[in-house]
Amino acid sequence: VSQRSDRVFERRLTAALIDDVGRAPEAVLARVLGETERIRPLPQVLAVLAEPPMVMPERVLVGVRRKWLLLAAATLLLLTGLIAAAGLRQAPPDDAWTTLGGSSSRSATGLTGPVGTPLQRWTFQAGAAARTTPVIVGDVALVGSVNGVLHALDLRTGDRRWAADVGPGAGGPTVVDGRILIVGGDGSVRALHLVDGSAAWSTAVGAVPAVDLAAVDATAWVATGAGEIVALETGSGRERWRAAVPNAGPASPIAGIAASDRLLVATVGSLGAAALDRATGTVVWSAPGDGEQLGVPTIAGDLVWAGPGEDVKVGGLSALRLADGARIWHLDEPFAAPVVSGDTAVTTAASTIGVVTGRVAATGAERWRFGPGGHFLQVAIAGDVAYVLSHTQRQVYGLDVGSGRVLWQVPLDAEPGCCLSVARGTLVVATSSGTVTAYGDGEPGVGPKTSSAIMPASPAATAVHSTAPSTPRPANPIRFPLSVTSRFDAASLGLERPISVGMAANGDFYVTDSLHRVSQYGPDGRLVRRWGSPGDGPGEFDFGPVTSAIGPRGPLAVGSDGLVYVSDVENHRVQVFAPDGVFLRSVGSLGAGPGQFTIPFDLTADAAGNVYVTDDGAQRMTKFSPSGAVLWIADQTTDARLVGHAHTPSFDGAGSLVVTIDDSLTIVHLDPATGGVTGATAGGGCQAPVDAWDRIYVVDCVVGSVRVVDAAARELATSREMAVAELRLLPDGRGIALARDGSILILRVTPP
Amino acid sequence: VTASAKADLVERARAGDHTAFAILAEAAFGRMFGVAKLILRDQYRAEDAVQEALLVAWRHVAAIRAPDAWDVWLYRLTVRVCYRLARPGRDRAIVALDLQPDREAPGGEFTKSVVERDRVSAALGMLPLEQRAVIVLHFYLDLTLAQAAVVLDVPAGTVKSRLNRGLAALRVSLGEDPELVASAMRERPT
Repeated sequence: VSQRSDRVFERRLTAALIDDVGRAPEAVLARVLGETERIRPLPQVLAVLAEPPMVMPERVLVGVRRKWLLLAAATLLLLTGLIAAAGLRQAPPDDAWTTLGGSSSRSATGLTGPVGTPLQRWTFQAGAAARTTPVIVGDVALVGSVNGVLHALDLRTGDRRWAADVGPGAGGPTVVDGRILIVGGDGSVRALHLVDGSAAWSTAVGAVPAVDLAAVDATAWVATGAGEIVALETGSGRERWRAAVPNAGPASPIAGIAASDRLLVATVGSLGAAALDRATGTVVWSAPGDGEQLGVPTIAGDLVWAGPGEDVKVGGLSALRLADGARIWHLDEPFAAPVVSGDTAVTTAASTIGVVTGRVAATGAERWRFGPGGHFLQVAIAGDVAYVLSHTQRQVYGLDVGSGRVLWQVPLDAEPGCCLSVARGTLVVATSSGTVTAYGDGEPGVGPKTSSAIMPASPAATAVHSTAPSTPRPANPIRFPLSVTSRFDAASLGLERPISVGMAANGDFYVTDSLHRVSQYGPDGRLVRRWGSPGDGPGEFDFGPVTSAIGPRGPLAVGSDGLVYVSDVENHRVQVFAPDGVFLRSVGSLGAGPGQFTIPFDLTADAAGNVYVTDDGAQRMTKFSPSGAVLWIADQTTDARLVGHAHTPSFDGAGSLVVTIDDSLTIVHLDPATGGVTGATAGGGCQAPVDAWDRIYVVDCVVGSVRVVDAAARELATSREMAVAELRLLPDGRGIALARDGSILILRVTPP
Repeated sequence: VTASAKADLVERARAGDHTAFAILAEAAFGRMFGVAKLILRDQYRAEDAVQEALLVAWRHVAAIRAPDAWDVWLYRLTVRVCYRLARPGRDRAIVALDLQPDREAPGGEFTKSVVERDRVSAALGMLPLEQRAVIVLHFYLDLTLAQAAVVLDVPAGTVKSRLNRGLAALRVSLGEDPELVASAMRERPT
């Protein structure tokens, strides 16, 4: 009885102890992991001396036996001297690229890049385009691909440690306190454990997708599509506070947020910027904008910068005082918010202006200018090197931060996805083809070990530099199959800023232009007729003003029966005309319901007169019968591969409807009968018409180069001279293009 | 985490791999917190103790010679910090009874088991620190007396005597309530 009583008592005691503990506070663990992430362990010799020994009878488990401590101390002194003499370099404690811009200030400092000319260390194929910032934390690189997979790669080898499904439309990863935070395409924020990608928590912050996320010290701040910032505990996902950003809302979304040690700064569309207290969400200041579309801000020292967003060709860069939002200086050129190293701010011009400048951070005065042309996506700084990612040139340039001198160039195998990251001696770049490449230390001051991969800058390279990109040759190259048979400049056709082109079977071609009209020309360029004027009545159009950042939009398509279909974008409808310009009918109105449009955009018609219209606002496609009845709607809710903005529907030889999605740079095939996706491949662009031999002509979104690929997206040929804004192909081997200089090109397709 | 995987993680952590350390820390965190809370009888001090112990563990991770000693070492660090935080002169008397419900405890009916838990908790809080630590290590963590001796850096005989004295004291405190013992015997027949 006594023994039984003992056992019962001990079990009762154990149960009471377990019950008494309650739930362990995860926030503490998150805080610890965040803290330990920033510090490095002691070297072994110091650690074993500092840590009291833990000894089992037969062996020492931790530390050293006490009698050896004296000897170890002497050894420590000796080793310390040796280490000091050798000048061993240790990575800075904050050497991690944790989020967009490297840190939540969007201007990371203390990063270590490769020594010398970077050498390729490994590549990894993500299986789909990678269009969010790679993250480098510890010995792991995190890369998200557009098919909704987050890959954790060993930074040294490129081996994949784990992969997690984060859903289509997910934003880039942000790492804090041992957690990976990702904003989903559905208004949620989810956290994964960094160690294995398992889910930690998920929380909804709004009904529409969040636009940006920053996180520091156990707190994450999420900018919602409704114009709020929500503060979450990174350990649990619990909401700490929620605050409205001045002037922000569904119609004027937050462009981005950046965090300092006390404030959060948010840029709001064209309406300026505001700062909130990081701890409480209280608005500290609000600075009006100049009507210019702003991008993500950056913070460095006591300044915050706000400049135009990507692809915005207008506007200027402002430096504001972080404490009160007062404008310190303004640059009337469309330069994006910079990254800052010491007193130098390095910034890229937005869109296709193709310039990178180094400036005095405090005054904005220009120190140097690097202008190879084209479109730059990003700048990062590690040490004294500015890493500049060129979309057009498909290269990473290494520039000296102080002088802008080109130190080296790294050609990329494919179009860069969006971003690069630099930390822990490694440069990581992801591309739209899904290839992730890491570069490590090269040899300082000497050329590359693999000359085909790396091109060191010539000694004569200067800050103003131009170079021909190195392009991998296709495996089975063909001669570029498009040739120009006629060229008409816009002025000779009497056009004012042409918008869209289409060709009829009889060789007549149609053009919409910024004067809200449709012009019909004979094959020789003779004007046949012209109709349309500004307005919202039948036969009237509103393509939008030329002064907008995006410019006027009015895609048209010509059916095989000669009917002319025009997306009357700002009137939220599609108008259908007889070949002679007689108005026949109108389809659609403003709204989100079936048959309604937000921004009706690219369109096409099949032989039966059905019309397929992409909606750039609602991000969906709708098939209409000749009578205007809705036959199907396809979007990301019907298939995750349709997330984003679809363009240029056309038909291949098998009758599939082929579109390209410029967000994910994928080419998607759909069944025109049902709208179901039958296949998707990486390698898309902003246009992707198909010729009669099922070759797809992928038009680059920025410079308009044309890459010809087969049905499996294997590259067959590329032309960098075409520079087209729009390309349409007919089944009979003819085609028409709107060149970026506004001229109309009549094309012939060379058969295989 | 399997033993071999844990050994591999410890080796990686020793080499400075923070990701490996994070896995290990996450796996041990709950029990470290339990030890600290039971010894210190204070949620906030327990949080401080675990935080400090893990920071020390990361800083000194290279001192580990035997990867299989990882857990025991973490407990040792935790207990060590608890001892230091519980020293006289701190701003709260650690042995004082704290009968307030846990702030993290789930809500619900104030049941009999909660009453009993608080009685055990109160009795445990009246024990000397060293006895309390032995009881926590042995009954909460299920360590053997030999393992507890390594954690506490005292001879096994000392652990045994502290355990016996602690249990006797608890019996005195709790055995005065015959209903508790009888109830326990009814609910958990052997």
